[in-house]
Amino acid sequence: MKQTERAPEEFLPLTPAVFHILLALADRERHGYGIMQEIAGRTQGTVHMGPGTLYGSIKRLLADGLIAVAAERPDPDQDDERRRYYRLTDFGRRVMQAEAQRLEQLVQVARAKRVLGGAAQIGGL
Amino acid sequence: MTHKPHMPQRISPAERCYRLLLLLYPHAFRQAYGPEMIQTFRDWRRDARRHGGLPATIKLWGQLLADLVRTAPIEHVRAVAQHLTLKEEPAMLNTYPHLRVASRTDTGRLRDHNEDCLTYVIPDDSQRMARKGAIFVVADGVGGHDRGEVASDIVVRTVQRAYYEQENAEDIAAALVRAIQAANAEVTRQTPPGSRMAATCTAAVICGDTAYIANVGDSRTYLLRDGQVQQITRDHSLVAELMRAGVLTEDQAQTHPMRHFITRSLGGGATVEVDVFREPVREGDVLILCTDGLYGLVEAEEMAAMVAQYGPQESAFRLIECANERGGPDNITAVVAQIADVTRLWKVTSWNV
Repeated sequence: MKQTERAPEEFLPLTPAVFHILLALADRERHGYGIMQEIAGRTQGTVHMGPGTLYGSIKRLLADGLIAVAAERPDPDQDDERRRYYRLTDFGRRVMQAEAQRLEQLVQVARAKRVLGGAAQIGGL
Repeated sequence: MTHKPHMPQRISPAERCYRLLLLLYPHAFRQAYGPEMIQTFRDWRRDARRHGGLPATIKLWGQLLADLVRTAPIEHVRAVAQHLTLKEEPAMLNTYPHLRVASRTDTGRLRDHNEDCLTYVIPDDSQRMARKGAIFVVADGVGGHDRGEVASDIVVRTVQRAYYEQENAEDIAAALVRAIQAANAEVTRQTPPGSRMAATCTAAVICGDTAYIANVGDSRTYLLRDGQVQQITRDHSLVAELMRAGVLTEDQAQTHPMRHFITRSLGGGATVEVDVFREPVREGDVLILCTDGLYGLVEAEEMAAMVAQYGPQESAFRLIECANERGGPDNITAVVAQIADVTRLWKVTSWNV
């Protein structure tokens, strides 16, 4: 009757919003607007996450233990208001990795079926 | 970067408008995230005005409204669903300890089998929780031919079953001791003739504001409070006895060739002496139940620092990983149970629309 932690796979597939948030926190902790900026910057503005989507997702990610509140402090790039910073937990990182692997497998299938171009075309991008 | 210390901020008409729109979200959601959403809106709007002028500001409002009409109904549906499923929770928070528990067991780097076992039960029934509390059990099996695995499995199952079967036992400490004695009898009964199997056990019951902690053998329970760590259980091992007798120092004990030799175990015979300790607990306290595979490699102070920094969920992983990184010569098991400090979970700054 061993009871172990939930498996990261139980959370898959992630919604695009959640996956984007986890990716935004992959390299460092960020506050809410920092997450929005990171996503908008990385996708050249094609993905824009509003505050409702952002905080609705943050709420559930906190409840499931995928992210945690890191600190409350001002952001030197913004103003002197204190901001709540979020960070990825180890478990969140595992879930993110599992999702990335799942997507990679799908992409491999797409490549094998020539839905996507081969490596040469990627190299040309 | 502008400094505006202690200056009352003037609320712009745009922000006032956004604050009104936030009323579309459920009350609890606004309470928790409203201030951050307003802050985010302010940053976003300022950047849009600075870099894109009027067109960017118009686009922002378009994105904002689209986001709002999509997410506000979702939050309402979730709030209702949560209300339906968690109706009992507020009452439980007030009356009984709210526990945050994480557990993990791992084979380690050198062994083929995991002879450790763990279980815990937090009763759903609030009456039962009030009367009997929640139980946590860790066992470390010994014996060849996979029998260690069998023994530790029997121990954790028997202890939790036998504990809750004593429905009307008033004395929790006595009930816990009897449950562990029942496990001893069960392991002894199931041992094939001519062979030997046994297990250690440490178990804790958290009921109201008291923790009842018992052990046989060298699995341990620690209590963490305000960053200080205290080993509650006393090992029943050769080196621990020698240390208590003043023959060995702590350092000598840690490297002693017979440090795994235990002087008491479950399954060794008809009766067993169980030590039981009673500790008052309060919100924020953490119990760590673990086997020697963990504490043999990770100091108690390191465990305390990890739990303080990462909380139960993540520290359970980190504790195991830490022992593995240092070689993981034995099976490693940890249960981290925190009596949650509900007041510290979420501090909401006051705000008005």
